[in-house]
Amino acid sequence: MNTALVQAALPTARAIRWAPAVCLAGVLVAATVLARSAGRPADVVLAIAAAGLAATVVSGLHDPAAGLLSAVPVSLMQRRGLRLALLGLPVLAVWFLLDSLTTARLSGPGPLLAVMACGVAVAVWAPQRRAVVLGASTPVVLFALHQFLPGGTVSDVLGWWLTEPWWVLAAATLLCIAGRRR
Amino acid sequence: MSTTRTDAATQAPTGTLISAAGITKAFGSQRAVDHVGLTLGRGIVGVLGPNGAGKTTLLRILATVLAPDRGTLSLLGLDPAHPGARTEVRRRLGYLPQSPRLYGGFTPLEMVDYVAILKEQTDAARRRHEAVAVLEAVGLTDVMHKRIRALSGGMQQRVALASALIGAPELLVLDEPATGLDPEQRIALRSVLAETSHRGCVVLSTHNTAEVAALCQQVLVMDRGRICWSGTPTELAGEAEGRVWESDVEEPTALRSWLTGPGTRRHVGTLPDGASPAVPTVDDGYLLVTRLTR
Repeated sequence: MNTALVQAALPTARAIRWAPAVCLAGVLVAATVLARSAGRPADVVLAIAAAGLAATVVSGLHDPAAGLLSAVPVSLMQRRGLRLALLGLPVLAVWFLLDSLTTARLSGPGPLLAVMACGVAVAVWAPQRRAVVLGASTPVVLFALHQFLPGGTVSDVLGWWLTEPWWVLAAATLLCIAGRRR
Repeated sequence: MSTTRTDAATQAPTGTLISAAGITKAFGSQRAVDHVGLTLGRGIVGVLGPNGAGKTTLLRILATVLAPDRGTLSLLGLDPAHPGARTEVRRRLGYLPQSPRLYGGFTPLEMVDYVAILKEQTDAARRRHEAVAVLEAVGLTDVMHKRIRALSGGMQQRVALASALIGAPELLVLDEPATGLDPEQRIALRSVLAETSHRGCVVLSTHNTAEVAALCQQVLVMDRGRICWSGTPTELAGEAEGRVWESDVEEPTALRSWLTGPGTRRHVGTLPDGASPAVPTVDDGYLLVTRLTR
């Protein structure tokens, strides 16, 4: 790995706003514990968790100092990759904790990774000024549309991140790679 | 009067550092930069122009932040259109954008050190030593361990300037660097930039003609995406030679008139009969040039 990126990891972690992710994780753990103690199915809680955590990770791509850093040799994509790794790893740990607290059908990190990759892909391809807002909204929009649209082909497609997460992850990753020079 | 002087612009004092031909950049149907050509060597170049003239877009292109739609560009002898060459240019480039934002939770030393890391300076001890040196150069030694959010706007601007200066760049691109600085800080800025210009090219945009007169060896005047005039500050003032005068009344024939501090009116344009010409300034020359090219 690039030495500059390794050295940048700690200050980048300090530059990231962690409060939203920490608060959301706390709420999700509490909701999962409540659902478990009440004997309620936790599928929806986990779907909400995947969308919420993914949105939090993608919103972490927002860099207030991006203007000042726009002409440094370490590229925007590399810096975004670093931010995703720094935020993604603890969020994955939260996801596994939630997963272990439930006996939901929705299991494994697939849905979280898939919907996160969708958000990143949108952020990569969206106009730069709105990239993070649009990318962070994507997981929430996908969840909401899948939940509230009447059953049918469109609703099914919008729910692929839940039913076919690895395929969605692969497609979104390809989109990210294709847009890496943007 | 010729409003386009390319001779001064094409003279590179000691080797060409920036060379551009036919650079064009449009946003939708709006051409922000329109067929701009320039050749710059070592020294300080000021870019003047009204709001919306295309200064920021030109500077962003010169800083490799934006790619031009058309035209050829060479920075430090490299073509930034190629990713590898662009990265190499960025290693040797410092860029200060307009109204930069910083990490409020960092100290100035941490902020500058972070930018140095991203400029691929991996020797921590050397990096820190240089970060301290640039902070000293911009007069922030006393506050380099304070949180940035606790600093004044002028100090934050100087932190951003220090970040641009780290790595001893050969090409320094500064978009309105004096914004928010008090007169003392502006003078300190001039010293820093004058020193930097010995090793490379400094391109700065400003609305402040006094700054240009005091600092720059060369001036580019932009209007509606084009470079409409270039030359030295003395030559820019010289454009208004014999075409500026003062009176107590409005002059309908003047190209531009404005009220001065003592209450008289200053005018640029064709000197009327009986009026005695005033000593022209860079301001006068700039106003005349931008008016005549419209």
